[in-house]
Amino acid sequence: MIKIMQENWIRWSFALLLVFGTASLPAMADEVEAKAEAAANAPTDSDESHEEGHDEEGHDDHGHDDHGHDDHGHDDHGHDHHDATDLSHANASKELEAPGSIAADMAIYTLVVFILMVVILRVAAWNPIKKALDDREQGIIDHIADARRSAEKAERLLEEYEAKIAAAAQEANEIVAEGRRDAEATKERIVEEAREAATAERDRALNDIEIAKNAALQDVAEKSADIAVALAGKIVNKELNASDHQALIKETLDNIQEG
Amino acid sequence: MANPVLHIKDAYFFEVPKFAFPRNFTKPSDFPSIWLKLDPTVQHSEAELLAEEFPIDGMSKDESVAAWHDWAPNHHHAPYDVFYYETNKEAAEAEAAETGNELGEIDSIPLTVQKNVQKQILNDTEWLDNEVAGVWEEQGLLERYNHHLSGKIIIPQPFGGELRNLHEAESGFCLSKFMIVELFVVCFLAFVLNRYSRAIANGKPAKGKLANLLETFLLFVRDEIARPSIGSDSDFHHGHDDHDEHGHDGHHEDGPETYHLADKVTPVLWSLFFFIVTCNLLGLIPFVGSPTGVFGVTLGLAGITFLTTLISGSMMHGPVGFWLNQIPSMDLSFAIAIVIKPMIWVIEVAGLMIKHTVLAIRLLANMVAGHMVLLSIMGMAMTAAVGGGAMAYGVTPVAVIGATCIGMLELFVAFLQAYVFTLLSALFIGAAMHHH
Repeated sequence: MIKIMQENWIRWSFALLLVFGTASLPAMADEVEAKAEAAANAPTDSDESHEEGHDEEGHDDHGHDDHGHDDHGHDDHGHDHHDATDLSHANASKELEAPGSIAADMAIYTLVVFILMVVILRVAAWNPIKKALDDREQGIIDHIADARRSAEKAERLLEEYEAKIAAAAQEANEIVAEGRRDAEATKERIVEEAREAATAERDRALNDIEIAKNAALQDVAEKSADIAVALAGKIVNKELNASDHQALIKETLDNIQEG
Repeated sequence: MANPVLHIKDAYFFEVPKFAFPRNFTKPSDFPSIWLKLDPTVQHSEAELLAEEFPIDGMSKDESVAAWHDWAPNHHHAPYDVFYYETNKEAAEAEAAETGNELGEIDSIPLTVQKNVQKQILNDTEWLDNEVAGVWEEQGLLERYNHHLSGKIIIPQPFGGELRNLHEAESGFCLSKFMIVELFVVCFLAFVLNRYSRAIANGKPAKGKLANLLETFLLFVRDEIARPSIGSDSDFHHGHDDHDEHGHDGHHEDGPETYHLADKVTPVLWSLFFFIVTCNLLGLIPFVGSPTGVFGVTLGLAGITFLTTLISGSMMHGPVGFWLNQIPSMDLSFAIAIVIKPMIWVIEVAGLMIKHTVLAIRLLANMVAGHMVLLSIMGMAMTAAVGGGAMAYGVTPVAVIGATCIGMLELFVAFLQAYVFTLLSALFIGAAMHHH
């Protein structure tokens, strides 16, 4: 409850004021009436409350500060329902109730006090405030300039770094490409070597085969010649001399070769 | 209280609730002398003493006093010296009307004589506490007087001023309620704004509710009132034919606009705004009242604007140039100009005066009107209460709610009128500084 009242204290105080104000009205009215009575009873030679042009709701409002109609029906006759024992505005001049009456002393006083105030405030407030506001303005301008400079610098650095990164990437690509190129070359060399080695091996093998073949042929020819000679000797039973022998071999060999 | 206007107008006492400042004087000599001076018994004694030396023409002393007794009730219970003056004035006027002569000097009772008589009476404590006390006893006046004086803190008059009653001054310099309120406003503003200026020194940002509120108003007055109304420095360098110079005059467009001339006037406008708004707002505090509801104050403030206009105009155009500048520039042949220009000058100068007077009247009328409406609405509740009966219970809530709503409107008007006064002052000052 108290918390709610604290939160809405304006509304609550207004409501309370309304309630208590309304309740206390009769008491206030009693006081005003008593005052009016006392005023009426006071044996003064004052103004009879002279008739107003109108009557509010049929009741007479004794002693109440009637407002709004003091301007009419009133020459120099004091106020209606005036309490003669209230001397606070006795001996009133004609200007008393004019809201626009000119008080020259007040005007001069205000002028002087105001000039004094401008002088005091100039020292105590306006000049420092002006300076502080200018300082702040300058500070903001400086900060903006700083920020702009920083942004420019950052942009420049960014560009620089981007360029560097691009260069690095380029380099990396190149390195990779080179590596690939090297690998390719190595592979080709190895394959070439292998191929060469293989070729050499085959050639040697072919060579060996040729030699072996020739040797075998030689061997076969010699054997077959001997066999033929032996066979022929047997057949002719005659001995051939060595030269005949040789010629015969040669002839046989040629025959073999041709055949 | 007789007329509600008296609640709005200046007075020579501070009003507080009666229970907060009860008066319990036991004998007449304890009462303030201003109150005694207005008491019928004392006035009678004063009249007798004065009539001895200054009887009305053709009357004896006693007849004069008796004539005053007949006259006084219809003249706000004015004392004998006023009666003497008024009677002589009437006679002199009648004579002047009859003979057709000029009205001569009117016989009056010298102030010193009157003061001496009053002093003599008021110093006679024994007479006051016996005979006057007796009369008061008989009429029950002691109690009534105490009742009326309760809640009225009468301001002492240290500068020798003499009061006519609690609402009017008679002679000399009298310190009034609103004079003291004005001093309070000055001290208050000096304190608050000085604190604010120290809080934001060296360009620190404003912190806290009050500082931000003040800053909002300060910047508003500077950026939205002073600078646009008076113009930037380049407006002044261009002179009055700035329209055709813009094209080939590039150097002013470099960098941001500067407002050194406008900023010279800004402190006066700041002071005006804060002084007026504080005075206006004081009117919403019960028992204080707003000094700006008094013609003297608003006239004084308009005087400040006029002085600022005069000084800033003279600084721009020279003391003679300022007055010559009132004539708008016109292409006239010499023969016509010599006839027309003096007439226009008279009109313009009269306009200058009227403008500033209207400034004072506008503020006064706005403040008085608002307070009158508030008084009327609350008066309605009082009327219903005095009328008695159940009606009061119906009227009072309506009146309270109505008064609250009008109070809100007054709150707005308090700021609005301060703004209007400041803006118009700025425009007048700006107009005086520029070429016509």
